[in-house]
Amino acid sequence: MQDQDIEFAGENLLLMAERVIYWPERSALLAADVHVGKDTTFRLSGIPVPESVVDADLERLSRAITRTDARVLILLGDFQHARLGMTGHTVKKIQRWRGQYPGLRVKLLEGNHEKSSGEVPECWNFERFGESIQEGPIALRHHPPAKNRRMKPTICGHLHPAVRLFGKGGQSERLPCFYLERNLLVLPAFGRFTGSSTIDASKAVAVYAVTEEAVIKFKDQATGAGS
Amino acid sequence: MKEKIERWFGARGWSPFPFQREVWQSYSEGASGMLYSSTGSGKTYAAFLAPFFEDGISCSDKTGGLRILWITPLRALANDLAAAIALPLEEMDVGWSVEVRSGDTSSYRKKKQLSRLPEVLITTPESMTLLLSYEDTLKNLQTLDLVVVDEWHELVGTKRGVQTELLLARLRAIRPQVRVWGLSATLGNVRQALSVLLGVRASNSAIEPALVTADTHYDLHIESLIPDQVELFPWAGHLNTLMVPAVVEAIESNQSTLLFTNTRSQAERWYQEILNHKDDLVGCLALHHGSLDPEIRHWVEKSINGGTLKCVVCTSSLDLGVDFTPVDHVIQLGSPKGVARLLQRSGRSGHRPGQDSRVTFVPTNCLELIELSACRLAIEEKKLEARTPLEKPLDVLIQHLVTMAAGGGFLEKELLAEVRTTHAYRDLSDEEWKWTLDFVRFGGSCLGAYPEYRRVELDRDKEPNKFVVSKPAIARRHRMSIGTITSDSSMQVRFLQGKTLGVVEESFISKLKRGDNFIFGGRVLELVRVREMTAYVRASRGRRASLVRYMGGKMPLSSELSRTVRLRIAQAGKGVYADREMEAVRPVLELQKLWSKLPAEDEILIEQVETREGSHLFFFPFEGRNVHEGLSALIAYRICQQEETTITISVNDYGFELLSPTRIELDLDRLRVLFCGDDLDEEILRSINATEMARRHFREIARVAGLVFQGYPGAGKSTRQIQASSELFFDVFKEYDPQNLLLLQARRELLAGQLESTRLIKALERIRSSSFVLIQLDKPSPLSFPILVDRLREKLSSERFETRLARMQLAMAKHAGSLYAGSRRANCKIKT
Repeated sequence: MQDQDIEFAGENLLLMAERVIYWPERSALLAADVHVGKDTTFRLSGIPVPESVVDADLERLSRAITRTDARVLILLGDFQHARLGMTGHTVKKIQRWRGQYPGLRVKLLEGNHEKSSGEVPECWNFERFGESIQEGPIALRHHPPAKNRRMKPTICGHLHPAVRLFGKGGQSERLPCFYLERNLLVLPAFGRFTGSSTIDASKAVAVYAVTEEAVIKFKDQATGAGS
Repeated sequence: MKEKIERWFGARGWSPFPFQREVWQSYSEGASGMLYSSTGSGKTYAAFLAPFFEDGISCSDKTGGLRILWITPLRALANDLAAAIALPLEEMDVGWSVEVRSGDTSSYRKKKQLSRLPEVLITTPESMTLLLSYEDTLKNLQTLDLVVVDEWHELVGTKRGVQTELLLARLRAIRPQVRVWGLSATLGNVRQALSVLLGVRASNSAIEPALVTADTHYDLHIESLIPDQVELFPWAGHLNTLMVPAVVEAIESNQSTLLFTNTRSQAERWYQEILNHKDDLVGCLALHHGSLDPEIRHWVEKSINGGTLKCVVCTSSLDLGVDFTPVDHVIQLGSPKGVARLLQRSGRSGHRPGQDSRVTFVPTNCLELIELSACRLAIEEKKLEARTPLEKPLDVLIQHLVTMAAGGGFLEKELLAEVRTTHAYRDLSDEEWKWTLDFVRFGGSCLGAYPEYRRVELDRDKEPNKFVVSKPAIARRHRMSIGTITSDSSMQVRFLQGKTLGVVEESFISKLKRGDNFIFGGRVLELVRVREMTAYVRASRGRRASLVRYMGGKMPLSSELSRTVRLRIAQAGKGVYADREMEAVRPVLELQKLWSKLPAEDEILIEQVETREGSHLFFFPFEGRNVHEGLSALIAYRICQQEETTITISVNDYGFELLSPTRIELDLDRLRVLFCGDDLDEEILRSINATEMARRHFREIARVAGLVFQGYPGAGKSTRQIQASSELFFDVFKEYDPQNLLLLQARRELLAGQLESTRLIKALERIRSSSFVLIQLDKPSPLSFPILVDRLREKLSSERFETRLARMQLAMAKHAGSLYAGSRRANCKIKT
């Protein structure tokens, strides 16, 4: 695994190929937009999505926990996809996974999907929070904040960011990414079956494309931003 | 009745054509069959009047129940057809009612038809399939005598055609004595088209199917508009507006002209250009293409027939359908790419017997002159293209199973037997059937991988052996997505005041911002807002506007034309320029000969050029773009096996380009190994896997199999939670259910359909027996230049993904969504 160390708001953060951020100072893992139950929602509507998609997501999350030995997992919203998908089967699956980490605190912030996907099951043992929480110098939230010159350092999700890359000979690739501005860091969507949206990287200090095994740093050459 | 019909013909001063009598005779002997001709009229009445020649037909009383079912691929023309059919019925006092059922029919009328069908129903394959998804329909089909499939050549070789085969099998099962007649244009394989139409069982029946031709001799005049200075003529491109004045002149010197373009964008652009050049044509120039609102198209069609239009700029949307008598002139803009297409389009003019067809060809780049010359040669040799029928597309079968389950349910054995009577599924194996049934029951072949899946289930309460759709929401959504034509997610374009102009692809609109202008339906429009699959616009005075782009493949040069193009090039190499067109393109070809070479028929030309972009290799097999796609992937794959590099591929109808960051060293020995080698089938398959071709091709399959549910106006948010892109499905299946047969189907369809593997293998054989000519150039030649600018990219790499990425740069995402909540674009949504 090829991760990337960055400094953000004076804190050392690790951008991991598992599509999460590790914050060693607080022993915390940050993940956004997992969209649990999206596969079930599809299947119940007659569209076959293999269940192993979710199993692989959970394995990846487990791998990040094992690699970092984190004590807290902070989910930046949109952990659940839709009410229809929250069947007994899905709930139990998450419960079983949760049971492997009795010592882990899990904090869930509210995303737009949480508003309509029903109660978070008790058995998951998640601590619920509102739209945002402050962790030391950094605000964590689901939605990106409104554009503001005096914005405090913020980490958010929701956007499912991806970048397009090009190379010599007409090569082109599109990959999910971490997006970094001076005071804003956006996480890629964690869930594999979620899709992504190409973002405008012209104002970015840097973007970090994520492959299956590496996080690779890119700067916007055109603006020369960052160093 | 017979006398009545003769009298009716007499009263109009007509007498039945011999081919009409032939059809009537065969029909009354109990035969099904097909009537074909390359041009000309009279096919409609030949088929429609056949049942009235049978002894003892009762048609004065309202028999109640459907007698004649007319299936047409063209929904827009159903109303005209209904009028043409109703005419003799009315004048002969037959009290039958004629109705249309299509996407445009009111829901009130549709509901009435569910309980009682008219004697004559005109419908599309999709609407008929939809009708079969209601249980009530079955009992209304017990009086059916005749099914006519109009424009059958349009359906053969497509998934709509397979859908039609399946619904014909259903109709034969419900009503075994029904007779099926197809109407078709002349094809290279009429006999095969007939057997596809009639299916396996009918072909074995006691009564020999009839094959009737209505071809009559007529003269076809093709001439080209050739610019005075061919040097000013572009080497590549598809718009060439240099020719506008000459085209306007040609329009003005004729009574009524159809101007055929190959794409919708081209039609939009030329409509504007003609008006800019000659504004007195306002009011007598119209635009017609498949994305325009049906009402607008209908108005245009009416106006052509009324003789009030001087010219209609159109696409293949007017290739077919009822005849436009006033049209006396056809212009073909750009290469027709196929002999049959040119003949079909030329047949749209001069319909009256004894009148000749006149076609003016307008090349959009100079090399197209070669294609026209080649086309003329193929016509002289009477070499027409065949339409190859599709073999067992499982996505269409999946859709059919759900339709049957929703329409009263099915028993496994019965339906399997019925499906196997079609040509497409005659060889469907037990395993394939089981997988398809499992797919709609369990989501996939491995039980447990798709828990809680629901689509088709056994009817536990009533008949435990019967498969049904028990959830109304699933049946409803299935009905809404019935249809096999690929269309990208489309958005309605509508004025703020409410008038609908047509549809454009969502991917195009999503690249526009509020206030941006675009040209659509012959107008400059400003995008005001986007809401729920509708783009609201207002008329704009601006001049700067983008041209609507449509996805969808380009038509490949047919193999018949490819062969004659090679011949013309080889002739030119020997200094023989066969006609006016070849003479006109001579300066360019001589330049090619000077810089590089004009390959002989048994030579394959390869050019190598270095530019700032990298190292280019151009190969010229002249086999059409589909074959080149497969061939280029194979060669790139083999090169990547031998050295660590990344190759980008572009193709056109003449050849393909392999572009790499560093130079690939070639000599004749290595070329021979690259093109020959063993394990061809296996390596072609591997090269497809190494590219994105299958992933892109999956789009259509995902839609037909009901994986991708398209939004539609008014669907609201309820469907948003179950929307995902076909690419995402492809990736997920590939990773988590690699045995999924839909993936296999994507590869198989690519091979058989898009890459035309039979043609590909023949092409390879030809290449093996040719000699290679490798030429080093310091700038692109006239032949390679068009490939260089007309890009269709495919990529193959043998480098580690991360290594390759590290050399890449961020694209300036001009069209990407903005990050902040405050500054929303007209359309900023997550692509899932």
